[in-house]
Amino acid sequence: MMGDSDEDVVDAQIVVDDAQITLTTFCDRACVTTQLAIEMVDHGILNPVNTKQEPLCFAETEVRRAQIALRLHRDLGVNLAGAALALELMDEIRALKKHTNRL
Amino acid sequence: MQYKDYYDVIGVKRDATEAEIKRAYRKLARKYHPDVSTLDDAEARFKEVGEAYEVLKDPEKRAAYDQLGENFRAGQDFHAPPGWDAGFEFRGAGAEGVHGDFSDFFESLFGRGFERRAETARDAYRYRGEDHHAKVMIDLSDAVKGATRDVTLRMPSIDADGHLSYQEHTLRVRIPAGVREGQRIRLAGQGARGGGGGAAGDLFLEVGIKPHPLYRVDGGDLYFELPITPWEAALGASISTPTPNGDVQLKIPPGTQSGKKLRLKGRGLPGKPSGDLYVIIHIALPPATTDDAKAVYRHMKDELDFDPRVTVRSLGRM
Repeated sequence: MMGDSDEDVVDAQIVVDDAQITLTTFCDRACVTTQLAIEMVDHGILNPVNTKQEPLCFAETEVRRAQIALRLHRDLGVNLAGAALALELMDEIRALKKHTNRL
Repeated sequence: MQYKDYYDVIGVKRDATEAEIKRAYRKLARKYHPDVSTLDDAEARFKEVGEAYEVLKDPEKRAAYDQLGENFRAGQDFHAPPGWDAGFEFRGAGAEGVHGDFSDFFESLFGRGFERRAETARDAYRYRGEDHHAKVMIDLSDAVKGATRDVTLRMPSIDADGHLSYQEHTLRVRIPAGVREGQRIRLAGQGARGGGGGAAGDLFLEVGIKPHPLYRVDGGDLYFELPITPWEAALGASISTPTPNGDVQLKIPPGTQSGKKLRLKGRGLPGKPSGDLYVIIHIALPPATTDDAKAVYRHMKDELDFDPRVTVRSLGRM
């Protein structure tokens, strides 16, 4: 089965969910402007690791939250407050499903 | 290519009003949005619904489509006749609706004058491709030791008849050792292509570990049940015990009861920190099928003054 060149193999890295990235890296990964990122923080969509000091840092998991909020806005016309609510409800549904799967 | 019945896709009659079409589209968009829906084919359905709305919401496109499509049914072979759109002028995408890929059918009708992001000389800009997310199941041994595995991703798409089909795409992935259930692994650059020279997005695979016949997995820890004899439990013993990384000699203290958990620190899934391996003792009963075996049990009964139910009796009576 082996014997293929290493070039064909894609390396995967474990995503460490609480690994921290700077605001600049975050904006690049999530395709948002700094201003939009800060607005998302104000609406509770994103939770930076450190609110009281510069520069802002985010956990790795926050990138996906920003992307989901952007898509909800783009595709369903949801504003930031609505996106924050939608994300919180989806978190709650996920937690409930996990709990019922364990029973 | 095949004709697509956009009215059927949105679920409205051909004489539906703009308000009815908008209402129907919004309901389906909420239902099939890939970030919200848990359906396997949500993304394909969402794109299909968006494409239909793109045509039906625009009076000019809708009129041209109606004129063209009166004699067609979904799934029929279709070619746009020359000059079919004479007299119609098509604008670019509005704020609401689908952004991205359109079917061959749509492209054949509206692709010429239709602006898509980063495709016009005026508006070209770089954008990073979207990240993709998928789930993958691996064996416990892959999680313990790492492995190179072929991971096949199935991208659902909907044909003109509304039938679901899957396009398969296989990647050879080096799975790192120590990955836990529910963790994500990132394959850089394996997501959607970017535009205008922008970087490709990443592919995130959420890992599930297939059930193992012996080990139960909980985070980084492993659990399994080790059967021992009554004399090993009573007198203590040193027992050769399997672990994911080879056998070890496990010391059973004298007087070990069934259900006791013995922890082998760091012998679970590798990582920072490594998980532990918990051995749960189960005292196995030797069968009393021969006369000699029965004699041994009777001797134990006579010689050992042992009542295991004292506490049960005192607690159980009210």
